[in-house]
Amino acid sequence: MADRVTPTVRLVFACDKADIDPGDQKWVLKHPWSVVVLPPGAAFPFQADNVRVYAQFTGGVGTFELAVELFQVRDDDSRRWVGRSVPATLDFPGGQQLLAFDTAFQIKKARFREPGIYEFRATVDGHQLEGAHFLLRVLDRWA
Amino acid sequence: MTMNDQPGKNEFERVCKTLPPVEVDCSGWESDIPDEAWSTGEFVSPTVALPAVEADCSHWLDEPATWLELVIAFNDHTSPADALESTNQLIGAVHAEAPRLGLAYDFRHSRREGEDLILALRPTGAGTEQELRDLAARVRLPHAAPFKRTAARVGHGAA
Repeated sequence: MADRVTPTVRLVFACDKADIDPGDQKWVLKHPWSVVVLPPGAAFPFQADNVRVYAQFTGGVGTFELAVELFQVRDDDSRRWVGRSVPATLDFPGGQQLLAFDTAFQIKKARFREPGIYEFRATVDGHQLEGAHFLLRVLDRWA
Repeated sequence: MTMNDQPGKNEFERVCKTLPPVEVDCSGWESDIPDEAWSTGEFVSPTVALPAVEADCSHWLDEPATWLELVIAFNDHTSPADALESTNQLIGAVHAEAPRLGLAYDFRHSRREGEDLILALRPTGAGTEQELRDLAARVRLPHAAPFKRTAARVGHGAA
């Protein structure tokens, strides 16, 4: 068996709340996002106090430096890189590739300079992981 | 009773390992705009929560009440390749005639009767038994080689 197999992202999305239930140690998620608007009185450029991104990984073997990157999606579908989180070390033990590993990125002070579509990607060792990614539409106000 | 009130037995057990949260501070991002220029707060997600949609799938593997039967006989000396190709075309043409019925090959009711091949097509989509009867009456099946004989009829399950 290979010493190191890069994991795949099975699920990734942002939501209102992501907390571990102390009773069963499982993630409890509230209100997944697809579109968000700025709070009353706010304007672009906007710095979100908190964005919680839930992510689930499978198929990995080895230790990886896991990070989340944010891109702004332009009208021509090209990407403008916004930033990358400080990596966190994640260990995928061998022989457990069928097991899903899930975590949530508690992203503070994420910056959105203008309305549009933003993409969250999970990366390991600086490379984008295969599998799911998350697109978030950010509006200045609800029509 | 809501979905959340269903008894717990016969439910999937999730195979997942919970990892601790990963905290990320992004305050250094987009540094070409001065810190004081950023408006701050929490996003608002303006979705509307709809009630749960219940789906009872217990009938999915039930025996269908009716199905379409294509009766086919081939000319002598028809090659297997010709037989397969012609049969595929026949099934495709019948499916295209009534796509909303979602006709699918029914291996349980497909069989041989003498020199006739009975191809059973089971409806998996919308539609009524009458639509199946109408289809059997109107569908134009080829009679030219390699077919010796073709017909369409409705098959019935045990009452």
